[in-house]
Order: sequence, then structure tokens, then C-alpha cells
Amino acid sequence: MKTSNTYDAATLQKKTLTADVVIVGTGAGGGVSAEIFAEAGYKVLLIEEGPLKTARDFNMREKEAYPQLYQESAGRKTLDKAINILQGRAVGGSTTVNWTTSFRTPEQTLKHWRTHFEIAAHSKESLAPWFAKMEQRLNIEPWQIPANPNNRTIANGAEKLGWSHATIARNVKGCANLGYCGLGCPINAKQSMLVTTIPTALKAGARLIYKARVERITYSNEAVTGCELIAMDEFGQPLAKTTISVQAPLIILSAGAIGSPAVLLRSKVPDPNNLIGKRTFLHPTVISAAVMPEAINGYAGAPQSIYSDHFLWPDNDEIGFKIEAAPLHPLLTSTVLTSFGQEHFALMKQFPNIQGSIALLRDGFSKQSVGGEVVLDDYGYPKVKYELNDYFWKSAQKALLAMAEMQFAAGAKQVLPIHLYAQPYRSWKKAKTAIEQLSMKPLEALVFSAHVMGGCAMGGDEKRSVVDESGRYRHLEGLYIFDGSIFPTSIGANPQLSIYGLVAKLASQLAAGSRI
Amino acid sequence: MKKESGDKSIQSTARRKILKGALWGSFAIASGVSLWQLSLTESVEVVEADQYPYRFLTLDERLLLWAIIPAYLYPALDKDDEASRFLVLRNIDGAISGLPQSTQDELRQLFSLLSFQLSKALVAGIWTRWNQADIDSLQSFLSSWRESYVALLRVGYLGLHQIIVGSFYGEPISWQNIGYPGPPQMNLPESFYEDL
Repeated sequence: MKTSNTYDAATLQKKTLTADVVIVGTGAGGGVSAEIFAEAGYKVLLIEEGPLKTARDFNMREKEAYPQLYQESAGRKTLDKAINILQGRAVGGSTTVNWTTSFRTPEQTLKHWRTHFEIAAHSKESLAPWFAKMEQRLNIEPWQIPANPNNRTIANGAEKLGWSHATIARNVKGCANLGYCGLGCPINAKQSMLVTTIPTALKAGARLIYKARVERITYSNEAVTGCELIAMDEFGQPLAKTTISVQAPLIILSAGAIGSPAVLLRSKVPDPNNLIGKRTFLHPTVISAAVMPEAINGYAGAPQSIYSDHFLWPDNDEIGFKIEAAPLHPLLTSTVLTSFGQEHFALMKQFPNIQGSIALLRDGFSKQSVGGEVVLDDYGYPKVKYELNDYFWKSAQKALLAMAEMQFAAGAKQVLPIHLYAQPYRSWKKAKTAIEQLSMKPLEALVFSAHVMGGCAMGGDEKRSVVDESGRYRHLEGLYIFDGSIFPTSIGANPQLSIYGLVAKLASQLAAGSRI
Repeated sequence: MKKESGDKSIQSTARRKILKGALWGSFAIASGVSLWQLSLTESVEVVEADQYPYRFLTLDERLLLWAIIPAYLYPALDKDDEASRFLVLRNIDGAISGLPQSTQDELRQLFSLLSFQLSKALVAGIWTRWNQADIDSLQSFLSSWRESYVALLRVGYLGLHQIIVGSFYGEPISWQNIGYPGPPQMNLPESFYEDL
């Protein structure tokens, strides 16, 4: 990526800037918005909290990638530490480090939004052309190369048990099947925002300031006037003395489901119904590791290429879950295996034979699943409160059972549910008995998240929504939110394409001046 | 950011020597020195002599981690492998430096809690002398945190687990034992990046 028009906030000489539109964040929402607005002739200023790193920097070393490219060194956690959140923090946002898995928003999700949140504008049909546009833009298509053994295990197990499963679509072009998507693509094959929309926007005249955090949006007379930035150092810590102010009549907030509510809360924008930061969804995820008789080498090959939605939409009111594979690199794998000493080493020595399955729980679709809340700590930094209740644990336990059954069906020698007190079990029968008896509690069963959604819910009812169906913030002129934070529930699938498609639609309509 | 000066290290060594001769109990707690540190023997000097510019970890915290690292990692990490232990220590320091201020504050509290709990265990006679041979005792201690009904202790166990174990398995020195070949070597010419 050419780096003209890009500036490290710490070295920026000018301390006052102007723009037609400021876009806060450069992930899926910000990247798509930037391209649309820059090409429409707007003077665009992009702000990114993380650093600008490119293929040249991506050396596939976990030790370097996590601190450089992830929020909180890939160790971001909920307030009670019970959920570990993997989220990107670099130019391109999470799209720079995600596993390229692409699904259109499930029709069931959009129908739920229509029924429960009065969202009529975004149906399967009305979004279809926008998904098609972004699929073409980012080269999203079903993975053609045979699945790696890590993913094939899921296909094999599902096949044996008669469960539905299918091939995942990925946003890649010229992919060498290396398997290191999560550490930044070293050959620019992944069609992330870093190599697609952002370079196009910069070429069209957009400017990008990186290592800068938006401290607050400024406004007067119920209209935005700009924002104030603070520069960040190489460790992601604010440089208190380096502030920059920006004047702009239009602000697009695309800082993600944790960052966007944080900016709004710091800005003390009007929020008469006290909704900002509420209903934060994470697709809380549980993990099952299997020891297979053959080498899996879960670090090699496309990280996710097979999924099973067999349990995603149950007939009852329980939380459904989606089963996928998790790529296995040594650092992250070692931290997920929660034992220590000899027991831990014995598992790590089987590293090449370990298969990793994950189940993502579809939160937010029931009265019993209200999600979490983004709050600010004493330093003005966002923290997520998220209560894992019995309603969640019931499905989490079912998910651990389903994955163990699937792994044994695929030939696993041992299965280890990721839980503080679980052991590797040698048969499905033993695993079933043990998992049924495991206590399902926070900080006993380990829970992860790689998808942050909600917190600035969209909706038709002014009293229950932060933005309307066009993404317009309800209580200030000139403020729009275009990212995953406007989803009123979780998506029920990896969310990147949901963000691309919806934001392409909303940003195009706003840029053309024709609001919904 | 707290910086360790040469003076402070000397003071710290002197302080420990004085305390070793004192009746250790309330005096040690009141002076802010952990009891367990008093039982440290030969390994102290090597940690104190380390000149690496740590950004976060204080000398006391480094001594604490120096003792607890092998409890998490033995036998993956050899007891006598000081070079690897320093690598882990530096990686931990680097990882913490990228965390938000409130999380850094919490980690300071966690290290302090760990130090206090170890002191209690020492007083209770769970072990009498702390040195590198005491891995079994330390591992029993870790088990007690891991299996605790108190969520805070499980948070501590898991938090230390993540930073210690992760700091080791991110290093090539750990990979041969687990059959991981390391990332592929790309060796792309400079022109490749220019063309992108």
C-alpha cells in the first residue's frame, strides 16, 4: 500500500485540520465509507487508533502481531475477565487480522430485526445488491482449494452424524493458503480494507491519520462541529500533550461496537433514553480441542473453510450456535490450554495433532439474552460488562457436547473441552458423561469472542434505538454511525460481510444526499 | 512509568539482607517487602543484575515472576535455563506495556495479591524455603488458585497463565519440542512490496 496522504499523529505539524467528513475508524465500516465518500468528491479525513502496518511488516510471528495489530495485545477482556475478546487495532481494523470468513446476514436475523426492532428498510432482498457489490469488490467467493485437515475434521464429523455443513466464502485474491490470516496477510491476498477501499480512498484524495484516538466529538446547537484527537505512542498509550482538533460538519463513527459507544460516552452527546453502549453482543464462543490420530497442522492452510449451521436455529427459544474451526498457532493455543506444568506440556507436545473446533453462540435474540454494556473506566477507556447467565450456559454446554461428538465421529483419539476442570476424554461416552457434569460458570468454562456487535442499536422506534434505519444518530445533526455497533442483535454469522453490505448501502445513500 | 534506578537495586538488596536477619512477620509486611522474597536464595542476584530497560515490571515483580515462571512452564522450560526465563520476563513486560492503564493497574494489584498469598503460604509452613527446587510446592500453590471457589483467584491463575505461557510459546526456543516448524520463510524481493 502506498503511504502518501498518511500521517502519524505524533509527528503531525498542524494541530488544526478541516474536512468535509471525518471517518472515525478504518475497519469494515470506516474502510467502505471512506471509499464511497472519497470517490463522491468529499474531502475525507480518516482517523485510526492503531498503527499503519502493511504486508512488509507482517512476518507471521504471533509475538509481534498481537501487540501491534490487536486491541490490548489480543488480551482484551470483559470487566469480570470471563470473556477474552480478539479484536483488531490497526489500519484496516479487524479486517487486517480476521480469518476472511464471509457470510451474508442470515435471513432469520433480518426478519427478527423487522419483527422486534421495526427495521423495515433492510431485508434480504433490499440488501442483496449491496452484498453482491461488496462480494465483487472484495473478491468474496466460496473457497475452491480443499479444506485443510483442521476444517476437514468438521466436514468428516458432520458427514458421519448427518449434520448439515458447507464451504465458507472468503475475501481473498491470489491466496497462497498459508494459514496466517490472523497475523496480517504477508502477500496482500486477503482483500481487507488495508489493501482495497483505503488505498482507493487515499488515491482519491482522502487523508489518513493513524495512531490517533478520537477523544470526543464536539458539537453545538445540536449539530456536530468536529472532533478532538489525541496521539498514541508505539505501545498504544495516549500522548497527553499531543492533541489535534478537527473541524467538520459531518462525522461518520466506525470505531466498532466497543469504540463507537466509547467515543459517544466520552463526548457526552445527548442520549435521552440512556441507550448508548447497551445491548453489546459478542457471539460468546466455547472451544473444543481434539487430539487426532493424524497430523492436523492447524497453523497451515485457510483458517476457516467449513462450517456447520446444524444447531444455529433451534426450534425452541434456546441460543443457537454455529460450528467452525479455529486456526492453531503455538502462542494462542498454549494460552487456551489452561493447565500448567507437566499436564500442559504433554498437551503441547501433541500440538501437530490438535484439531480446534469453536461454537459461536448467537446472542441477543431472546429476552433472556440482552448482551453486555460498554462503560468507561477512570481513564475514559472502554470496558465491556457482560453477564454470562444460565440461559447462555445451557447452550454453551450443548455446544461443547456437540463438538465433542463431532470430533469423535471424525476419528478423534481424545477430546478436551476448554474448561478449567476438564480432562482429555478418550471416548464420546466418557466425554458426554464428563461434560454433562462440568460446572458451567464464568472463569471455569473459558469463553472467547472474535466478533463485537451492538451498543448503538439501529431501529424504527426512537425510544429504543440510537440510530435510525439510515444510521443517523437520533439526537445530533451531522453524526452517523456506520459499523457493527448498529446491529440490534448479534448476526449469527461472522459479521464482516454484514458490515460491508449494510455500510455500502447507508454510505452510498448518505453520500448521494438521498436519505432513506 | 516506573523506572528502576541503580540506587534502588542496591537499596533493595540491602533491605533484603537486613530483613533476613530480622524477625520476619509484621515488620516485613509493614515495610512492603514480601515475606516470600526473604526466602529467595541464589537466584536473586541474577535478576537484580539484569540491566534490561523494563517499562512496566518493578524489581519486586520481576523476582516474583522469576519464581513463578517455572511453576507454570516446567518441564517445557528447563529449571536451569535462565536465558529463556529472561526472554519470558521481557515478553511479559512488552505485552503489559501495550495494555490500557486500568488493566496495568489491575496487574499491579494481581502481583501484589500473589506476593501476599505466597507469603501466607510460607507462614503457614506449606513450604519453608523458596528456591528453584521448590517447583512442586509452587505448583500445588497454582492448583489451589486454579481450583479456588474465589473467582478472583481463578482470574489471577488465568491472567498469569496467559502472560507467562504465551510469552514462552511465542518464542522459537519453544517450537522444536512441540513440532511446530515456525512460519514459512517468504524471502520476497523488495520489488514485490513496491508492486503492491
